[in-house]
This record gives sequence, C-alpha cells and structure tokens, in this order.
Amino acid sequence: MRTKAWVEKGLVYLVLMAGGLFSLLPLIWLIRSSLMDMGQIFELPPIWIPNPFRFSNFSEALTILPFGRYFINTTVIVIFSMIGVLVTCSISAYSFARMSWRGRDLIFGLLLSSMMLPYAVTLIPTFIGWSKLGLTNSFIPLIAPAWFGGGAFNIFLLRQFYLSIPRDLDEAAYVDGASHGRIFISIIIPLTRPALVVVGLFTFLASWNDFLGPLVYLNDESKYTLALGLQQFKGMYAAEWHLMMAAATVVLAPAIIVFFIGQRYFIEGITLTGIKA
Amino acid sequence: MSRHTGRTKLMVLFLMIIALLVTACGNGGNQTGTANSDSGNNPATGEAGTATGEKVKLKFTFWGSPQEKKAVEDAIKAFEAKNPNVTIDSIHIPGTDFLQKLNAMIAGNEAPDLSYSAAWKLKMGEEGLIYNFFDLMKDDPSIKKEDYLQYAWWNWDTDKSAGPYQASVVPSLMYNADLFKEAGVELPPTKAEEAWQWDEFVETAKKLTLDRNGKHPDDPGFDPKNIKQYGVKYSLSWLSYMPLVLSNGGDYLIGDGKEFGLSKPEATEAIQKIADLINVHHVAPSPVQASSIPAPATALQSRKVAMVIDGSWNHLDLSKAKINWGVGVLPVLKDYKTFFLGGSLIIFKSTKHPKEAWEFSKFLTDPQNVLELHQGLWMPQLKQWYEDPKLVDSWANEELPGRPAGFQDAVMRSTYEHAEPSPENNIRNFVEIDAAVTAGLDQVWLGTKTAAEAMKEVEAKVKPLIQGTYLK
Amino acid sequence: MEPVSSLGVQRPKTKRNSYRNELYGILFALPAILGLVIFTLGPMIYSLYMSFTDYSGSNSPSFIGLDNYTRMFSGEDQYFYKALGVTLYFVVLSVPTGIIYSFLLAILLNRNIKGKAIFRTVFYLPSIVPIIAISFIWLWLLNPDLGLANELLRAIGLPGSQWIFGEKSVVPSLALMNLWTTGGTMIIFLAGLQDIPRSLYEAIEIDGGSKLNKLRNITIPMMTPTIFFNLIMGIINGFQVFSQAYVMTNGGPNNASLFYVFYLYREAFQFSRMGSASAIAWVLFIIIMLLTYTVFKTSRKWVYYEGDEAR
Repeated sequence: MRTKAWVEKGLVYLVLMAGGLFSLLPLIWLIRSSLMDMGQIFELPPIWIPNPFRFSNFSEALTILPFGRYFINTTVIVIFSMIGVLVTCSISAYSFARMSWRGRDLIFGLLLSSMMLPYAVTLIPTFIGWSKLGLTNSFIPLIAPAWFGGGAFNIFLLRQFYLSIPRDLDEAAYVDGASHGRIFISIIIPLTRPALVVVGLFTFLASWNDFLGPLVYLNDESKYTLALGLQQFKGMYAAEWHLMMAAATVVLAPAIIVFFIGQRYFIEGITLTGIKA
Repeated sequence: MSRHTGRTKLMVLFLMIIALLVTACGNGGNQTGTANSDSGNNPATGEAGTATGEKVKLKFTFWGSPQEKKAVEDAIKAFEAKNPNVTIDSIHIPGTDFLQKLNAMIAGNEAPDLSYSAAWKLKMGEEGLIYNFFDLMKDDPSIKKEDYLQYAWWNWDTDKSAGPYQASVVPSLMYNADLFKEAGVELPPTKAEEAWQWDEFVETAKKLTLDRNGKHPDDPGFDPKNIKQYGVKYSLSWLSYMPLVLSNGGDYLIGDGKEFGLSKPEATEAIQKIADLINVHHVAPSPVQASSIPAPATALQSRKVAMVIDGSWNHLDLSKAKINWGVGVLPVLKDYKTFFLGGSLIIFKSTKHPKEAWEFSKFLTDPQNVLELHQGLWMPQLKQWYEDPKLVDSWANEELPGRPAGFQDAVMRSTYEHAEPSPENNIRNFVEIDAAVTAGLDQVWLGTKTAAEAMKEVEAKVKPLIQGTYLK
Repeated sequence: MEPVSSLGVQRPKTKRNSYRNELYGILFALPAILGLVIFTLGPMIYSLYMSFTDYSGSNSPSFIGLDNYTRMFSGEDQYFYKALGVTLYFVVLSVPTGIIYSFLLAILLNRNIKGKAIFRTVFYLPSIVPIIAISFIWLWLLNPDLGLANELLRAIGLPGSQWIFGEKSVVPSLALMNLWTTGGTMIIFLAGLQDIPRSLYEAIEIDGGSKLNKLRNITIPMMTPTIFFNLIMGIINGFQVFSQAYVMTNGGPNNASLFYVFYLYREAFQFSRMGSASAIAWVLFIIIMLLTYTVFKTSRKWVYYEGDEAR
C-alpha cells in the first residue's frame, strides 16, 4: 500500500515537472539565445550556456531601433488606460452592485454578452469612426475605450468584489445620510483595494501586450509601441536570432516583473473569473 | 436616407467621446497628431520654382532602411534650403506596413501630399486619389517622357500615369569572392554575352556548397540535411525567377496579356530549375532553411552562402560589410533578359499645394540631388545617366565602395541593354495575381508539387483576375 | 447570477428621492453605458450597414445589397472557405487539447503536494508574455533546422517536423503554441476544484470507491460548469487568432494558416475593402453565436448546476 502511494506521488510529480519544463523551456531558450553570438547560436548540437555571455546583444538591439521612444509611447498608453479603467470601471461597477435603477439588469446583461463579441466585428467601424475624426495615428483610440468602462470584464470583476462586501457597512452610512459618492469613496474603495490592484494589473498587461490595436491605429514610426517596434525588427533582422531574442526579452521583461510583483493578485483575479460565470 | 443618419449619429457619438476624454484627462500628454508644429522663423524669400512667398508645409511619407532614411532626410534639408518657404514634414513608415498605414491616413482625410508608392498606387489612380503625372508634366518642359528608361513608367491607363520610377533597382547576382578563391572556382562572368548557361551555374554552385563534413553535393556521403555553406541563395520572389522565365522565352502573361503565362512550359521549366537547385541539387536553401539565413549581406559575410540572387539594393549593405564581394551577370537558359524595377512618387489630389509637391517630387527624382543613394542603393532612371560617360562616372565609378569591379558591365550595361518591362508595373491587377502565384509557388519550393502542377492550379484561380498589361 | 437588490434599508421614501436615486444610478453607470453604445452597439450597427456597401474607406459608400455576402458564399472570393476551414481546424485542435491539458494539471495540483505555489506560478507564467514575444520565441523554437523542438525530437530518435513551414503541420504547430499559454484556464480549473465540498468525496470514501470513481462521479460532474465556461471562451478566442498568423506565417505556406481574422484584416487594411471586410466580420459573429448557442443547448445534457437535483 505504501509503495503504491509512493509510485503514485512520484507519477504526479513527474507529470507536473514535465508540464513545468514545457512552460519554462521556451523562456530559458529565449534568454539563452539572447546572450549568444551568431556562431554559438547556430552550433549543433546546441549549447545551453552561452560562453561568453554576450550582453552587447541588448545594447545592439536597443540602438538599432529607437526602443527608448517605443518604451515611452507604450508607457503613456498603459498609464492612461489604467487610470481610465480604474476610475470608470469602479464607478460603474458600484452602480451595478449597489444602486437600483430601471434597466440596470438589462444593461448589465448586455455588458456581459458583449464579452463574447469578437473584437473583429467592431474593429472596422470603430477604426473608421476614429479616422473620420482625424484621430488615427494618435494614442487616443487606444486609450479612450478605457475611459468608458474599459471592457465588461473589469466591471464584472469589480462588481463581484463589491457584492462580497457586507451591506451593513454602507447601509448604516446611508441611513445616516451619506451620499452614494461618499459611501463609494470612503467605504467601498478602501475595502476593495486588492480588487482594484487586480483590475489595474490586468489592464496593464492587456495594454502592454496589445498588438492589433497599435498596428491598426499608429502610422508614424515615432508613435510606435514596443510590440510594433519588435515586429518591425523582425522584418529587418530576419534570422539574426540572437538580436531578435534580445529585443523580445526587453519587451517581455516589464510584463514579467509586474507579474512577479503582483502575483498574488493575479491568481486571485483569475480565480474570480471562473466562478459564477 | 437611413444610411446618412446612421453615419451622422456615429459621428456625434465619437464627438462625445472626445469631448469627454478631453475634460477627463486634461493634459493627456503628447497624444495628439503630428499636425501643428509650424516652424515659422525663416523669412520667405520666394525663389526657386515656387510661385508665392506664402509658407507651405508638405506631408511626405516614405519607407527605407536607416541609411535610406538618413539620405532622404538630407535631401529634404537640401530642398528646404533651396525653397525656404516650403517645409517637408517627412513621416517614415516601415515598408511591411506601408500600404495599410497609408490607407489609414487616406480614410482619415489625413492623406500626405506626396508619398513613396508600390504597385498598389495604380488602384489609387483608378479611384482618382492621385494626380495624373502626364497632366502635371504638360506644364513643365523640364520633364520629358523620352528622357526616362523605356519601361520606367507606372501607368494605370494609356494616358494616365502615377509617374516614372523615382529611382531603379535590378535583380543582381552578388558573391563573396573569398569563397570562390578557397574553392578554386572562377568568378562569375560580368558580361551578358558570357553569362553562365544554367548547367554551368549549377556546377559552380555545387563546388561552392559544403556540408558539415566539407563534402560537396556530388560526393558520396554528402549530408543534405546539414549544409554549412550553400552555393547560392535564390530570393524566391518574382524579382528573381522572372529573369529566368523571360530568358527561357516565357512571360508572366502571354497572348497580349490576356492569358496566364507562368503555367506555360517555358515558364514552368525555368521555375522548376530554380526549385531543383533546392530539392535536387541541394545547392540552395529551401524556404525552411532560408529562415535561418540572415539578410543577403550578412549571409555572404558570415559564409552561409557563396552567391545571392536578389535585389541590387543589397549593394549598399555589402559595401558596409567590409568583405571581398563582387557582382556578376545572372545565369541564363536562352537569352539574357532582365528588368529595372522601382517605385514612384505619387501626389495626392487632396493636396493643397500641388505646385510645391511637384517641385519636391522633381527634386527627389533627380539623381543629382540624391547622388549618395545612387552610389550604392539605387540606380538612375534617366537614359542619359547610362550614356553620358561623365554622368556614369558620377554614380557607377568602380572605385566607389558601393560599386565593385565589374559593376558597369554586370549590373549597369547588362540590364540597360536587355531590359524588359517588370511585371510589377506592366501587369494589371498584379498585387492580387501575385498573391495567388506566391501562395502556389510555396509548394514548388518545398518540393511537394512540380512547377507545372502548381501553376496549373494557380491558373484557375487567377483567371478572373487577369486584365491585360499596361506597357507591353 | 445571484439577485442584486438595492440597499435594503431606505431613508424615508419620497417620489423625489427615488427619482434622484434612479438618476444617480444611471449617472454612476454612465461610463459603462456610453462605452456599450459607443464601442459596441453603435459600431455593430454601423458595421452591419457597411456590409451591404462597397466602401474603401475614402470613397462614399454605395449600397450593393447582398453582393459582399454572395461573393463570399459563392466562392468567388477564393479565400473565404479556406480561412474558415483553417480557423475551424485550429479551434477543433486547440480547444479540447487546451482544456484537457489544463484540467489535468489542475487536478494534479489540487492534491496535497509540495511546491504547489511554485508550480502554479510556472504554469501561469507563459500566459502573461506579450503575443508578439510569444510569436518570436516560438518562431525560433520551431525553426526546422536549428530550433529546439526538432533538436529534442532528434535527441529521442524521432524525425523532426517542418512545423510552421509545412502546409499540414502549420496549424498543429500553432495549436501546440496555444497549449503553452493555457495557464489562465488551469487556474480557473484549480479554483473550481477547490470549491468542491470535501463532504462529497467523503461519501464515496465511505462506500469504498476508488480514485477513478471519485473523478468520474464527483470531480468531473462538479466541474462541468467550469469546463463549459472554458469551452465557450476557448471557442471565442480560437476564432480570433490573428497576431500569430500576422507575425509568424503571414498566412502561409500556401494559405494554410490564413486565419479568419487575418483574412479580414487583409481585406480591410491592405485591399481597402471595408464593406466586404464588414460582411466577413458579421459572418464571423453569426458563426460564433451559432456555435455558442449550440454549446448552450447541449449544455443542458451535460452541465451540472448546483440545485438541479432539488427539482
């Protein structure tokens, strides 16, 4: 009986390790390749540890294209999107969780179903709308949606959080004559700070990782984001894998750093998504 | 009726967003368009070509490598110095996304005044978006049609043109001379009359192909899966296979441009020969193997390939790579045939300053003003620059770093004397036809279909797209 | 969804007060309502209208009735069925494998094992990588000559694959790549597993049921709502693959990875046929709706909802 349990446990770990290897190997391979010169990278059978470590790949990759400019552009978009989502989503979610008005459930239902709408359907009309306003080739089309509820998903998530707050707290304040604005700012917000972090992190990632949006809306090279810059890099330095991997590492690093900082919140946020969908 | 109100409503909605956005995020950083940065302290002197002293700003979109970008920007400075009342707002857009970005600008009523352009410009001409070059030419005696290379025209109808090439490039054979020396092989011929017959070319390529153990393709035990150095890298686009198709007496379209030509035996034979380099002789990389071969200059420098057949714009990179490189004439099947290709500068109808745009397009099209680019990246599009020895010397002197020994014979004369129209500016609807052809050819290069089979299939697909030719 | 009531206790109720409450409610929700109208409903209607026109983005749209649709369905546009086929193939490959793989990992992780948090992090990590970087990494891994994938295959004596360069292997390659990024799904499953009441398992243990029994009779039935959710999201996301095709394969070889949204993008932004692209988008919308509807319909048969047994 004991040995059987042991074998079973071993098997479980074996499968998990295999899965872990599958998850990590590509990233290890990326970093390994980003530190080699072209000669080492083409060697067969492959070497795992670069010798010597060639950190100059990074400086080379970063100077070929104005990655600094791209970084600033991406950051501007990300920050304004985050602020927009945090402000407008939390207010709207509060309304859906705590206030009653005619048509609320209908609107919320519509919002939820809009999560299932393929973005491809709204891409073209939205693009034409922005271009008729002469606002393509600016960051506005990439930031504006964040200021209008920023996607049903975030509202849904925050509403779930708000519903989990005991009503006694705000009801007492309400009876005492506090307005909704007061309740929202001084009771709900402080209690749901972790939820706001989750939403902020998701927005950061979505915005940082966005490719199609910038691809469609940004024309001028000086307005490009990191994702677009990387794509451009591919066209110019095809098959110079050491440089391509170095550039990819640079684009990926901030996302990874943010992930590790906010790891706890991420897992919590995803967990909430699946429940009671 | 409902159509109109629908759009108005949408407009109103969008206006609302903007109003809200502006109030919501006040000083939202630098996210507005490029528009208002008029640099306004040069007093207008109003000379050189431009009629009025009024300040004029032109928006100009272009693509190109970092070197090209720099040279074009220098040319812009020179133009601005000569025309102080004109400022050029140049927007560099990477080539891969160019059309899509330009379309976006046009849709947003933000079209540039003038732009680089590729084959898609002809559709813009048909849609009335750009000026007819022939109309503009009428009022300017300095531009004459016969001054240009015969086929250097992008026309969308017999009397309607999107302009001549702004500069030319050609298909070119480039090589690393050290690798020839090491293999003890004679360098490629530089005169069209002495061009390699196909079999000679294949034999040479074999001698220059090495597997991991230093064996050649005909040696026993040669390992085609582990080739260290390829004899030749053939760029697998029409730029490279069309000279061979033409050389064999075939063409892209035949029968006055009404019939698909690539499915005919003369063409499929030529295409099959190139595919055989990959799959039979193992002297050229397949598309798969090519994915681990860098751009031509780097590939030659890093000894991944001994010869490259690709566009002549690579000469510039080669001259900077500091290797012992050279150029030869293309291999042939029968006659020597090749072509010039190039883009043209288009002027949009929406421009408020057609006169200044015209002056700028003339300036940038005159090799004299971008001579540096003509000494490595480009070739002129004016006949005189091929005939007047002094002019030839200014751009094709073989002492120039971008012009190796043999350049005048192997690249300049061989093309000038044997030029056919390039399919790109000759064939109507080329962009869509070529998309289907390129997809079909994938299978040929990968060796899963013969050229004849694949082109037969493509023929059925492109039949409804074929609408004749423009030039010949 | 639980019922949402407004604040239960009220201040003295007057008509004015309740109007004011209504007004505030709508005011607070205004960003979301406007967002819904401006970025979803409005564009959808406009897109439907455009799909009946010939419109390049710069000309004025001219009404052409159903032409855009007939051009697609009649096969005159040679890419429509191809794109649809490629995308369906991808969905059929990637959705079930993704669900099975992440479900398996979640079940194993849900046991009492050491290093649970580390494993969870590791499995989730790839899903935060930007899609453009993912594409770069896998382009390199799957390089047939020098990539790690073929190197590993060769090391265990298997022949390598052409991966994204083969007409037959390109879609499976992208499905494999998709498997790499299913960490989010895994975490959702894990949360679902943790919600299953211990008491249910205990009941089976008392009856002497095996582990397999537990899995079959408790875990899987209890997890069906989560599986259902992931299935729907998987289908929707699978139909929207774009960046991989754009960055890695450009739709090739021989259109074997001409994904539907890539085809739509090309039509709209390269060929400037906004009308036709809108029709393509609407067909996608309808296909996804039909599929989702079908899954919903069948869900009655296999999805277990708490409280069902009470009826």
